[in-house]
Amino acid sequence: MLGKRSFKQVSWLVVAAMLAVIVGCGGGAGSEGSAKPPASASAGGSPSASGSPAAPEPITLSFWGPTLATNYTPGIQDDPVAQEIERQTGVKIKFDAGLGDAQKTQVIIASGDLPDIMVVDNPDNIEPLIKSGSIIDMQPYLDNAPNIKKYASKAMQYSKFMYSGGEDKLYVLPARAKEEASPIPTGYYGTFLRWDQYKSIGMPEIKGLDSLVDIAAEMVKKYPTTPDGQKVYGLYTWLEWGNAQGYAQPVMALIGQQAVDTKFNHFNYKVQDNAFIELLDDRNAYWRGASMFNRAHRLGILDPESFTQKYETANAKGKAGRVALHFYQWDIVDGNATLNQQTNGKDAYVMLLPEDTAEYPVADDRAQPFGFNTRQFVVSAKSKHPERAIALIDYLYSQEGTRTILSGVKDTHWIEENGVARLSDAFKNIKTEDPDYKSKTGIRKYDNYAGLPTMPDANGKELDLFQDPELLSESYNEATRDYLKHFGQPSELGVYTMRKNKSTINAAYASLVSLPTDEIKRIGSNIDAYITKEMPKLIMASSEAAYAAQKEKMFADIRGMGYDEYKAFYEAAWQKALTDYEQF
Amino acid sequence: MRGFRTGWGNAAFQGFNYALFLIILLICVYPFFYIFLVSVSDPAAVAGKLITVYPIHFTLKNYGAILQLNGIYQAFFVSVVRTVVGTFITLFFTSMMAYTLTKRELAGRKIFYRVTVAAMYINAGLIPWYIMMRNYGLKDNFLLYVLPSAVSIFTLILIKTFIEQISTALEESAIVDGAGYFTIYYRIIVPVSKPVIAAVAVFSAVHQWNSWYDNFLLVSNSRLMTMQLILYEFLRQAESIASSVRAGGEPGEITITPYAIRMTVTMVVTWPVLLVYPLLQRHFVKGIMLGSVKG
Repeated sequence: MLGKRSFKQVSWLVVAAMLAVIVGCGGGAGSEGSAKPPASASAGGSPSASGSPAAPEPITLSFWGPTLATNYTPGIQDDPVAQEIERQTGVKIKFDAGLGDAQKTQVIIASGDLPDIMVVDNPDNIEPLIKSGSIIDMQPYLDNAPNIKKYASKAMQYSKFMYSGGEDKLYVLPARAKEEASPIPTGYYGTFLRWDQYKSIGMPEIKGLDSLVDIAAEMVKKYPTTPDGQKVYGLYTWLEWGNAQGYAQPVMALIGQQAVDTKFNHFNYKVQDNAFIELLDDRNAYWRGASMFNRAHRLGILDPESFTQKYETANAKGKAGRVALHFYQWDIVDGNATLNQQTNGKDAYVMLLPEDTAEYPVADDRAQPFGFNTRQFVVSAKSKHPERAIALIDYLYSQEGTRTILSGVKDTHWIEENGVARLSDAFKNIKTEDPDYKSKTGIRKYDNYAGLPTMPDANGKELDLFQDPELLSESYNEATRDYLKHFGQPSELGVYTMRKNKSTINAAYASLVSLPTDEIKRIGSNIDAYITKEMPKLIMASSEAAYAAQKEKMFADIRGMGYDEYKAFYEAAWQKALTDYEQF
Repeated sequence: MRGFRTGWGNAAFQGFNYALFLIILLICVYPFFYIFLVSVSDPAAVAGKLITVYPIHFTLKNYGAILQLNGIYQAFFVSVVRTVVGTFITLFFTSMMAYTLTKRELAGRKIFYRVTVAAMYINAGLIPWYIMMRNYGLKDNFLLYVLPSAVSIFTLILIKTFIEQISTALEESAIVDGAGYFTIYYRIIVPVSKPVIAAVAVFSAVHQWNSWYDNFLLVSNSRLMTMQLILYEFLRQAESIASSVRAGGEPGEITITPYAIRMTVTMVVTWPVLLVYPLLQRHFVKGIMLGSVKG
């Protein structure tokens, strides 16, 4: 037991430690780069516009928004990409802990403690920001923002239409605007099977979703386990990202539908003719997906953990080659890495689409002239350097800036040969050589803060040089080459573009759909919760009769949940969106 | 014959007891052991549900990843300082307030007490709390970690109840000798209240050690980050990255799964508490019982 004197000594030591920590560490972030008095507006101009301007005075600007694409340490970022951004704009970029956390975002918005630049990923948050006067009108600063004016003209028009109440004010700047439709070289939707296994069962014709399930069943029957003895399933899904992702998304692009309400995807439209498809319509992607999964269940090839597993568990199964049929290109990357190793390149998941008919107008071409309404830049009214903030945003909207984010630093990670960009020889295989390259280099780390999507530059090269078709083709293994030779195409995307029946998505329409009222949100949430509870029963129905009965019950129950009001809102909002689009 | 039957019965009863408690012990310990197994096993084996009672493809890369986190050692120091200083401040102010509330001569004593207890149930919510802390100047300040918890109402009730049971003769004799209130508190009340103070110290230390939300919302200075926040951020970022593929992110980057990180983080933050708790358990149990006789 401590004596009185020892207790006093310990107490004073504790107090001294406290004082030392308080004096040493407390009191703010002054050491991380203080905001200096603003330079003149012209000094912050984008390097692309002014040639060789004098180096702008270095400052630190804070960001808030979606999470970064790699692990990061809160504070000023110092990876090579961040350093390059600082070199070009004179701005150190600072990120706080908790990026992407919805609750912290609400606290920041409600308290008015906005960082200098915020990327708003929920359109519901825009109106409170404008009404509270927390964000500035960026219009007066655009004289020195040539890239924003060049690449986001329609996006700015959209922003004024949606958020400025008829005034010529630009509170919000949507990112990733793309006026010309183009397919995404990677990351698209489709149906993917193992090529070698598909050949071994005689390459049956893929008439539609039902026959895809039958083919998967045949493959599972012939190859029931992986080389290390783990069970293989025909299909799987996961509900961690919501019912829409779990049930509807696997088939939406195949059947040429897109969401009207982007939250739950209850209401869709046909991409080819913009026809509205309500939830209680058999054509809706939810029921097409449910029918497919039910067929898989009755054939005994549906992963029973589909209704409970998280994505990381599902991804681990895909990576281990335990699933025959996939629906997303990004979902087969890990599986292909495993297959490549296991089979010495003789097998790979490849895109094998349903028959080229009007029933399957696969939609992978996308234009988004208004950008993403889940990636919208705003500048805080409390920012001490609004002109520098907009200059930085303008850099992020430049091809140079976006390429830096997506492909790295010029002359370090990529080079220009005769004016044409390509990854450097030392770096082009970095993805396979060093899986941790993103953390070390900062490449793609700031994906969610890029102003542009990947797009061809003046020489036709994608801003994301990792998606260069020549580079991608170098990574094709024997199986992929055999598959491409069969279809007579140079790339997997070519197998898609050669179809007669395909659709082009114009994401602008969904951007113009009115935000739901609180009552509509309530009805939508209730219906979605109901689907969470009842859809597994539908999919696990053991017969056609049981399936039909359950579906009829679900339709009746949903009708009694305020469905008519819900449908009327979105149907009207959709028609208004189509009308409003005409003015753009 | 009677003695023989008693011996067999007793042995059977003892055997049954041991078996039952062993089963209960395993049921209690196995989940934590499973967490350890997951933290040292290959993620693919974990996803394939192959882990049972031993690790598969033993690996320390999860722990390696945590120990290599930027600022983890500075954060560990901040967490330790926060725990020690915060606990000391809580003990000092809570016990002092508990003692003053036992003094009948304190004007408005009942009102003070009732308002204090009511504060346990009334909460304005997160955003008012945030604004209040900011307006007090506690944003990006170490004092945020220790001042708001300077008086813990639940432990105040415990200590007050305990102090009320101390014989008044002790205080009266001290008053006769010329002691003031602070002297009585310091020289008589605190030493006599050691059991309940030890219990409160354990509560407070564990609470301080585990706290991260105040750091998350109000502190952006990297030199003031706590270890729990760094670990929480590591886990949260891993989960976000894993799900970012659907927004156009790239797959194939997950070398350590969020599930494995979650288990490893659980081990890292729990071990210090596990080491300290058994040493203080006797004080903890005694102090809780002593303070709970009257509410």
